Parts: sequence; structure tokens; C-alpha cells
Amino acid sequence: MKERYSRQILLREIGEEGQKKLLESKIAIIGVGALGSVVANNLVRAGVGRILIVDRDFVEINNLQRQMLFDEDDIGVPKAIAAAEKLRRVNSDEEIAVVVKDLNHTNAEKIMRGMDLILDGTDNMQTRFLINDVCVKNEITWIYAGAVGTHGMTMTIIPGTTPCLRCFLPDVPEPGSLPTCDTVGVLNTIPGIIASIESTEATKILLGKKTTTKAESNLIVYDAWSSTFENMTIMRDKGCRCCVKHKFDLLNVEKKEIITSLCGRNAIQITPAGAKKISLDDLALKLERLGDVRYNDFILIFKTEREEISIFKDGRAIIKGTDDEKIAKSLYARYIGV
Amino acid sequence: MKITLPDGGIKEIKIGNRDMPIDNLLKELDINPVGVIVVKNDKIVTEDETVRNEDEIRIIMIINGG
Repeated sequence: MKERYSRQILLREIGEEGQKKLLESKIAIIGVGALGSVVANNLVRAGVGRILIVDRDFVEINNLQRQMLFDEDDIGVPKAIAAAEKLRRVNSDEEIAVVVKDLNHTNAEKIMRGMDLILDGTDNMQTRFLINDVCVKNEITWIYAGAVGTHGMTMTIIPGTTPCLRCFLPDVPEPGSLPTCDTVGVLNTIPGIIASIESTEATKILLGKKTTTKAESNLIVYDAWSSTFENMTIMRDKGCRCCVKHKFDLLNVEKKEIITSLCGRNAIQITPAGAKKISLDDLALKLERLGDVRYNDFILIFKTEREEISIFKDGRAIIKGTDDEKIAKSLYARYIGV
Repeated sequence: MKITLPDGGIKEIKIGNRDMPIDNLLKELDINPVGVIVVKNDKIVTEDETVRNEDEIRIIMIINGG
């Protein structure tokens, strides 16, 4: 153990005692795309003892430009599974668990409760506001991070101490209202830089270093094209709906089928209301007559001339080729069944 | 008042000798307030704050990608 971590044990900021703290820590990384890959890689190598990786997506060729844990052999494999396989080869001493699901109001608290820290690797604000609600409600520290185009930002949120996400963003942006990597692109070094700052802050928090004791926090903003780093102060909103009034809008949602527009991807995700268990073998037999079917242990990808549907074993499906919820629901009913 | 817009462009406006609520300023600039961060003299402020002619304002968008 000592040899593996010797170069950071030598650091007076970590030492043997700090290393022990890291080994005893338990974190969840929500989303293992460009940001989450780098965060997971950094923290697994640093020796964070227990890591849970949550991701709803599977690897596609356009991910390989920036999502550093994946290679061509991973295309079509759920990201959480592919990431965990790589990370176990990096550090076999650690406990790496995966959840191949969409994080939503039905499962978020169960997944995140008991964690020492939550790391943001998501690609949408809806999920970040959900993480914010769960973390504020359960007093779990989390780190927001985002990267798009040639810039990125990150901020640590310590419930009860610092501002939360709603302190400076009172309303959840509508899907499609903000630029995404799929609509405006992303320089492949940006997620790595932002995720490395996020990992560094995570390490400090897990070591018990008080990053702040004040009712203010710093939003770190990096712009690669103007070569500027900025540290912007945010004050806690005394009337904040989430961290002051304890209204958790994203958790208090009627429990029904969840339909999510995947911004910029011309795709709709449908998560059925109740738990489903789909036999991908049986579904493949049914769909082979209607189009091209490829599948593995986790996912089935069905293609016709017009549409592409990726179906997971829990009944969740990503329907590509439309941003119309009604069309997506009808395709789901036609090919998978309700 | 000097305003740096989300796309990096700069706009100068005069609002007379009055305080203007930030949500009014955003309306005047035709900017949807949802998902936008307003920085007044290097501090992030909420929409219920006001601005004056001498303030330096930056409007940035929250970053969504990951």
C-alpha cells in the first residue's frame, strides 16, 4: 500500500494519516463522460477507497475525442461498466461499484445517501438541480463542474455553510436552452482541466481541509481561449428556496414515467415508471425481423432506416432521431411495449 | 454602465440617476434570466439586486456540458 501511494504520502499536505482518510472515503461520481472519466481516474489512482459510478449512457465513437477512460473496444458498452473495468485495472485494491441508470427523483436519494462526497460529471442542469436537492436535504457536500466550448467552471457546495446551486440559479433552465457539447462542441482539454480542479477540491475535502467556513463560495471559471482563470465570489441567498426554505422541487415530483429530452442529440430518453426486467435475448428475436439489432449483456441497439433505439435491461430506452416526446413514446410502445 | 455580454461582446448603456433591478436590466437587454449569472463589480449577485451607472456588469451563462 505504502509503495503505491508513496509519492503523495511524501506530501506534507497528505502524509500517512491523509492517505488513510482517502482509503476510508466513499464517494459517488454522477456521470462518467468527459468530466467524470478524469475525476474517476484521478481519485482511483489517489486511493479513494470506495467509488460508485452512476451513468445512464453508453460509449459512442464521438465520445473518444475527450472521454479519456474509453477506447474503440468500448463502443456500445454502458459507460459505467467500461469505466469500472478500466479503473479496476488501474487499482484493484479499491471497491468500485456501478449503477447503469438514469439518476432521477425515484432513485437519487437511495443512490447518494451515505456518501462522503458527490462529484458532478453530468451533462445537464436538470440532474444537477436534483443532486443539489438531495445533497442539501441530506447534508452531503458536492462539487458542481461544467465544460463546454473553450471554457468551464466548478464550485464546491457545502450544505449549511456555502451557497447552493439555487442561491445563484433560482430556476432550472429548460432543456435545450443552454449550449451543450453536442450543439457547440468542446475543446478536448477543457473537461480535463476542470475535472482536475474538481478532483483536487475533492481530495482536500476528503482530507478534512476546511475549504471554506464562510457563507460564500467561489465559482472558478476558466477560459482557454482568453487564457484566464477567474475566482468569482458568490454569497448565500438568504431567501434561497432550496438551502434556506428546504423546498426540494426536483424530489417532490409525481412518480410516473420519466421522459427526458437529451439536449442537442435529437434524442429522447424514456424511463418506465415501475421496475421492468427485459430479456434482451427475447427482444432481439422479436426485433431482428424489423431492423438491424446488436446487443451485449447490458444494452440492445436497434436500428431501422429512420430511427435508432438503445434499450437497457431495466426498460429504459434512448430513442434517437426525434425530439418529439409523442413520437418517442409511440416508438417505445411499438418496439418495446408498455 | 459597461456590460459584458455572454458572447463576450461589450455594451454601454446609461440608466440615469436611478437604481435598476437586475431583472429589468436583463429584460432591457433581451436576455432570458434563467441559466444566467450576473456579476456586479466582480461579485455574483441575485436578480433582486440593483445596478447603477458606475457599476461594471458581466453576464455569463452557467455551463451545462460535461
